[in-house]
Amino acid sequence: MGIDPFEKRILFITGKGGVGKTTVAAAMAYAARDRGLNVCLVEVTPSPNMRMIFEQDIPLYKETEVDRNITVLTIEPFRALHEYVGLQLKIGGAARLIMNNRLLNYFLNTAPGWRELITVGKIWHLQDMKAKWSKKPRFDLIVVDSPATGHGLSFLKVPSVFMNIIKMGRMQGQTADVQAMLTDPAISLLNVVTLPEEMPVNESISLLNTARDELHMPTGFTFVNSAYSPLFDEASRESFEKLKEDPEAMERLKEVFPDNARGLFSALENRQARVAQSQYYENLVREKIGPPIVRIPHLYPGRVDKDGVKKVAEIISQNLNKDA
Amino acid sequence: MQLSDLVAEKHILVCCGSGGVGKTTISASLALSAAMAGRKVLVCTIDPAKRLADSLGLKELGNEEAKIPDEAFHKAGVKPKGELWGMMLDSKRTFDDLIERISPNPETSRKILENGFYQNITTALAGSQEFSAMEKLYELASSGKYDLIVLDTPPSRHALDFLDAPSKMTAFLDAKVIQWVLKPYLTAGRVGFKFVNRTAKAMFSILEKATGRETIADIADFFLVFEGLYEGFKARAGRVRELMEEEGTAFLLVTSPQSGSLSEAGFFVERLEKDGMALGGVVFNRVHVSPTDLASKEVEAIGEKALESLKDYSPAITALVDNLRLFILLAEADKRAIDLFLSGLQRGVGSVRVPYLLHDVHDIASLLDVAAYLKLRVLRI
Repeated sequence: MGIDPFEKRILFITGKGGVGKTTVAAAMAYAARDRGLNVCLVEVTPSPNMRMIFEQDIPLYKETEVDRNITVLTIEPFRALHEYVGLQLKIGGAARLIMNNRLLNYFLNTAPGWRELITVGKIWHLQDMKAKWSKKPRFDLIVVDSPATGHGLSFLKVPSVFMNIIKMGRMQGQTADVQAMLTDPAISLLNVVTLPEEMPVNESISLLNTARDELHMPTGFTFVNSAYSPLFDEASRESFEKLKEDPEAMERLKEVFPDNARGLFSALENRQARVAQSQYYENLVREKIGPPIVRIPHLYPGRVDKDGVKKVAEIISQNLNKDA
Repeated sequence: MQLSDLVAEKHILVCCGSGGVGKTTISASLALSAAMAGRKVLVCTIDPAKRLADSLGLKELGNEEAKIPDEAFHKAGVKPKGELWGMMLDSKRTFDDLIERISPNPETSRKILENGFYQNITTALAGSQEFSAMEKLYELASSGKYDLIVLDTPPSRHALDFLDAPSKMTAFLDAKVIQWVLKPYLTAGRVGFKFVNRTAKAMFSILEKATGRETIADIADFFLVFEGLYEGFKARAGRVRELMEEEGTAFLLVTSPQSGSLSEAGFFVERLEKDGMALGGVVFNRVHVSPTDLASKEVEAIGEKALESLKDYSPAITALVDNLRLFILLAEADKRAIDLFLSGLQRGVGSVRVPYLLHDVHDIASLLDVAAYLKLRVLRI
């Protein structure tokens, strides 16, 4: 039972700004790589976090192998269009002449929509590419770090918008191919990352509704990121209960801390409140969105680095196994 | 300048920042405190949290302004000296209204509103929301109905999208370009087409091949009708721009102390300076506040002492001290990031820090709490 994300070809990772999309996308790439897949991690705008994770500069629109069997590609619309005009419309040398046309560039700098379309088109191209000298795909899995929710959806909506605008011609057929790719449950899976907080959870709910009802995209996992876990395990809870009942010990504790251990207890209150908040919104996700849900505990430091991402990848892998 | 001065003196406050930093809450809180102090204030927002909208009575507003009812204030035990109004922006309606306003006759506006290309650019495509927010702001500001308008900008990845929207939209709709390219193609048809310059010709044959002739006709139709409206449209976008540079307008940057949000905020500040617009202040939202004055390093040593003196309770002490260190470290990381950001700002730009609030802000009472963190004095009657 359950969905195996690693059987798909494209995983879209979406969510509101600041919820940890890039971390989850990179972690999914590691989890897939560790299962033996060759992964392409795609980003739609160059993000500083991606560079922090892989500790290197990643040039625009150049497939960069950042780790064994993990390639990052930052899609840049102008470069993608250039490639498209040259390759797809089969006009080769004329491509440069046309792309350098002042008038066209003027249009491209201002016209809405084409960036998103060419971006999704490039993702289609990536999943369609074959490895050299073989019929096997160039990449087993493509993980897309989508833009923040608002734009995240418009980026996936654009092919259907263009289906309405473009009525004939080669591009119409290609746009239809792209649209078919987005809606094919064997190929695509839309996943959402959220924090256990009001706005991100509500936005995730409406994002998934729109994705299902309007875009007809197959939806998959909800990652609840940065969830606080209870402070005490059984042993420390018991120990803490006893401590509270021991006035003399409590007095000694206060003596050790220059602030009378006020900080210690206010930090405990903070923790308990964060845990309650996390649990409330985790329940809401369970109730309003439902499984499969992957809970990622709050990890300190909250910095994005490779070790943190690998830890998240492990957590994801364990959760997926549990679910399967 | 302090935030409280801005709220008391300015006529327009534009709250900018990347998504997920709590712009809506901050905007509502600023507007509320100005209303409490006696001004007539409108807060214009795009997509408020449902519970906040509900509790302010903003349920089914559409594109119209509505007064926040007295009951909402009663529940919080306060009474505003001024008035608080709210509205939710409807991007498509704003666009349609603008077309109707600048059209010479209903026939022209009907032609545009029914055009398929127009419908697509106004709803589904990126940038249209930002553009209509600017347009609506201009319309509201020139109505003269409010002492202060607080605009909560659309949730985009980049705060800069908002500043670029009018010029991008104007450039996109530039009639001169249309005349240059599309008109000969359209009006003369195939016969006149040979006089069009060679690259344009190549471009069109590709566009036709790529999209079909009908598509280009649809687009061309739109531009032909729109041509007559362009000057009016452009003039209006120009005035919107002027409004942004006026003395009475200030931009407020809302950001979280997270690195992604801060680096985006840095670009925004640079851009404002370059464009000669005023950065009124910075609100750091969702800041971790340390539960103690002790530094994380001190706590390590103290923790060891505590373990020694309370050996019987070591599981509890270990957990408690680890937790204290966690919250101190989070606060220290935020403070470092904020200090670094502030050191790059021009002097005289005020800033405030709003702590990470555990409860969600969804009524007047909690908005007033936020106002207190914004160092806005609110007289409670």
